[in-house]
Amino acid sequence: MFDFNARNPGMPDWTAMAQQYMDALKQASTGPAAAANPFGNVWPGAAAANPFMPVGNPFAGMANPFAAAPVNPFEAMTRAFAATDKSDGSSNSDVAERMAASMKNYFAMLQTMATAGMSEQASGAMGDKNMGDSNPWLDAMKNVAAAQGGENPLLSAFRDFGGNGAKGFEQMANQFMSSPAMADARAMLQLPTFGMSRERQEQVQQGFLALLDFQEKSKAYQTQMARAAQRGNQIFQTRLSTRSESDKPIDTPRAFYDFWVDAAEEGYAEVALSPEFSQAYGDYANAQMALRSHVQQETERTTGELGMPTRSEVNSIGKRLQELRREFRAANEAGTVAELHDEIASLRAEVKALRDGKAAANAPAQTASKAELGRSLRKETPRARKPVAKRASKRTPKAAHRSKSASKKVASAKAAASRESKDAKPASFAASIARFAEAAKTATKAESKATRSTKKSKKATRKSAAKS
Amino acid sequence: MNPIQIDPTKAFNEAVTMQRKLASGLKTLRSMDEVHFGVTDKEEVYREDKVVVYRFRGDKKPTAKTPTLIVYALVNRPYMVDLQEDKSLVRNLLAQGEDVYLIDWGYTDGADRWLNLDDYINGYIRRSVDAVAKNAGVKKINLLGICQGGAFSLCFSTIYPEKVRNLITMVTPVDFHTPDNMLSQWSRKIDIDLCVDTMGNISADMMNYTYLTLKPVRLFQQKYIGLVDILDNKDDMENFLRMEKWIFDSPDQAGEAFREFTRDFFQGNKLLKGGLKIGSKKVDLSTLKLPILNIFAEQDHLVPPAASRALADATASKDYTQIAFKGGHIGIYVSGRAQRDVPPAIHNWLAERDG
Repeated sequence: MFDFNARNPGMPDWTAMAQQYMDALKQASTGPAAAANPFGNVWPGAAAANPFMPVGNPFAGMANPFAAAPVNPFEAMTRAFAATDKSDGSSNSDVAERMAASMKNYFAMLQTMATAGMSEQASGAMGDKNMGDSNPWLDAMKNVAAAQGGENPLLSAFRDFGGNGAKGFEQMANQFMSSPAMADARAMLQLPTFGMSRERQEQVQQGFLALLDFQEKSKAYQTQMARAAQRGNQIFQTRLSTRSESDKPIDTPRAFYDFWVDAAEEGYAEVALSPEFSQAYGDYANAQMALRSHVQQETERTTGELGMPTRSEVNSIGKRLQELRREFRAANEAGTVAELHDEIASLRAEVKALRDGKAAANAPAQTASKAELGRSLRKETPRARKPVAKRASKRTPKAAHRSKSASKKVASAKAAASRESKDAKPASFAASIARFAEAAKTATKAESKATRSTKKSKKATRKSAAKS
Repeated sequence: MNPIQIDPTKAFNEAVTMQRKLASGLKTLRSMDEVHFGVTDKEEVYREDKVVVYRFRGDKKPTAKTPTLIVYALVNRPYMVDLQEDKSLVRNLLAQGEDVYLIDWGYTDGADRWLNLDDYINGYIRRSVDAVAKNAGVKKINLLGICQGGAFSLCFSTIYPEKVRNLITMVTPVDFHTPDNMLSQWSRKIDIDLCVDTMGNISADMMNYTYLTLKPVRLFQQKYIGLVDILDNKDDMENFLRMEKWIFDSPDQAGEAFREFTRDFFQGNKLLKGGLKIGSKKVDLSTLKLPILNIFAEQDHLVPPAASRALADATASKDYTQIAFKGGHIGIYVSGRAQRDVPPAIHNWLAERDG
C-alpha cells in the first residue's frame, strides 16, 4: 500500500482524522434521535467500505464529506429536530429549520472549498499560489452559486427563510398559474370580448395582465438582487487583494465565510440604497399587491355566488363599526350622552314629584327625597328666599347682612345642584340621582340655615324696636 | 502572500466539530424548556379593547414622584424591555426608584383593521396616560417612547403638553428621509393604499421579512451558522431562543394605522417637515417645549442615528439632552453595556426634573 504520510511527513494523519469523523457520525447515530438518524443516508454504503481508508493518495480514496449526497445532512438534521417536539406541544423546530436552511449555503461553500482545497493539496499547490484569477479558493467561492443550482445565493437565502411573507407571493402566483382560472384566462384571451360574458372575460384578461406584470417586475427585482450579489463579490475580491502583509491570513473556512459575509452585506447595502433598487423593489411589491387584489376579487366572486360572506362585506361592517365606536366615544366624552341622561333623570323626578303631589311638597326638607330633587331641578327656588331677603333688608344692617349671606349660600348650593345636573356622567342613572340628592341636601341645609338666620334677625329687629 | 491560507487539517477539524456540535445540539434542543420572558411582577391598571396598561412592582417602593409610562412600538412585543432578569430595562429603572408603567398593545386581529393613528394616539395613549395619572394621583406623567412608540409620544406630547412632564425618546425616528434609511427609501416607492386595501392588516411575517432583508446574509444565514457554536450550551441556547422568540413573536399591524404611518411618516416625513395631523389634531413639533431626553443607537440599522438626531433642532424645548449609545437597535435594551449605562442615565435625567 502506498504510504502517503511517509512521503509527506508534514501532512496530517488522515486515518486518524477519518476515524475522528466517523466517531462523530457514530455519536450522532446513537444519539436520542437514533430512530431518525439524520446522517443515516448521507454516505450510502459507508459502513461496508470505509471511504476514509487511504489507498494510495488519500485524497483520491477519500470520499469528500461535503460531496453531494442523497440527503443533505442539514436537512436530515432538520427532520430530526422537528421530531423534538415536547410533550407539552412546544417545539424548537422553527429554530432548527431556520438554522438548517441557512446552513445549506454554508455547507455548499464548504463543499466546494473542500473539493478545491483537496485537489489543490493533492497537487501540492496549496498555500504557494499567489493571489489571482486562478486562486482555487476564489474559484471555489465563485462556484458556490453553481453548487446550488446556479442560483443567486442572496435569493436562495431569502427563499430558505420560512414564512408566509417570503413564500406567499411566489406560491400564490404559481397556484394562480396552474389554477383553472388561469387556464380559463388563456383560452379567453384568444377570443374577442363581447356579449353576455364580456365583463367576465375582461376580468380574466386583467388577471392575466397582472400576472404578466408581476413576472416582469419580479425579474427586474431579481436583476437588482444579482447586481447586489455581484457588487458583494467585487468588494470581496478587492478586499482580499488589498489585504496587507501585516493582516492576519484567513485560515479557517469560518473566517473565510465571515469575511465574505461582510463584503456581501456591504455590496448589498450599496445597491439596496440606490434609486434603481428602490424602484425595482417598489414595482415588485406593487405588482404583487395588484395580483393579490385580483385573486381576492376572483375569490370573492366565486364565494359570493356560493352565498358566502365576502371579505369586502366584512370590511364594510368593520369600518362602519369602528366609525360608530369613534362617534360614540366622542359624543360620550363631549357630554352629549351625559346631558341626555340628566334630562331623563330630571323628567323622571318631575313626574314623580307631580304624582306625589302635596305629600312630596310637605315632606321634611332633611330627607332629600326624589320629590325634593324634582323641586330643585325646577325653577322654584326664589319664592322662598325673596321675602326673607326683603324683610331682612329692612332690619338692622348686621341682621340684613347675615340674611343676605344665607341667601347667597342657598343660591350657591342650588347652582351647584344645577351644575351637577349638567356635569353628571352617564355612568349610571342611580349615580346621577345620588349626586342630585346630595346637592339638594346641601341646598336644603343652607335654606334651613337661612331660615334660622331670618328668625335671629327678626328677634334682633324686635329688640331694636323695643329699645327705641 | 496569499491572504487565504486555510490549512486542510483545520478545515477538516471544523467540519468534524460542526457535525459533533450538531449532534449534541440535538440533545440540547430536546432538553430545552419553553423560554420565559417578562420577569418583573406587574399589575393591570387599565384595559380597553386589547390594550392593557401595567404597573411594574419593584423590590422597593418608587422614590420618584412622577410615574413613567413606556409607550412601545406597534411592531414586536413590549417584553423586550423586560426580557430576562439580567436584561431588563424595567427592572433596572425600578431599582433606581422609578415608578414604571407600560402600554401593552396586544395582538391585533381583523377586528382592529380600521384602527387608525387617531385611535391609537388620541384614543388609547391619551386614556392610558389619564389612567396612569389617576392611579399615581398626579396631573402630569413622564413618557418614555420607544422606536415607533417614540414617534407616537412626540405626537402626543405636542398635542397634550398639559399631560406630560418629561419626554424620553429611545431609538426614535424623527427625520424619515435621511439618505442611509433603507426602510424609508424602499417604502417611498410602495403604493401604500393598494397594499393596505389588498392586505387589510399587514401580516407580521411580511414585516419580519422586510426587516430581515435589510441585512439579508447576516440575518437569514450567518446568525444561524453562528448558532452551531452555542448548540451545546444550554444557557446560551436559552438566551438565543428567547431573543428568537421575541423577533418573530410579532403582532400584525392594524391596516389603517399602518397606511397612515407609512404615508405621513415614512413617505411624507411630516413629523419633521410639518403638516402632520392625527385625527383632527395638528402636530407641530416646533411648539413642543417639554424637557426631552433623546437616546439613540450608533449602530442602528433600522433607525439610523441621523434620523433620531434630527430631534435636536425640531422642537422649541430649551431643555434637550441627547445620548448616543454604542450599540444597535436591540442592543440598547439587552446588551451588558445597556444594562449598565442606560437606566442610570434615564433615572438621573428624570430625577433632576421630578416633581
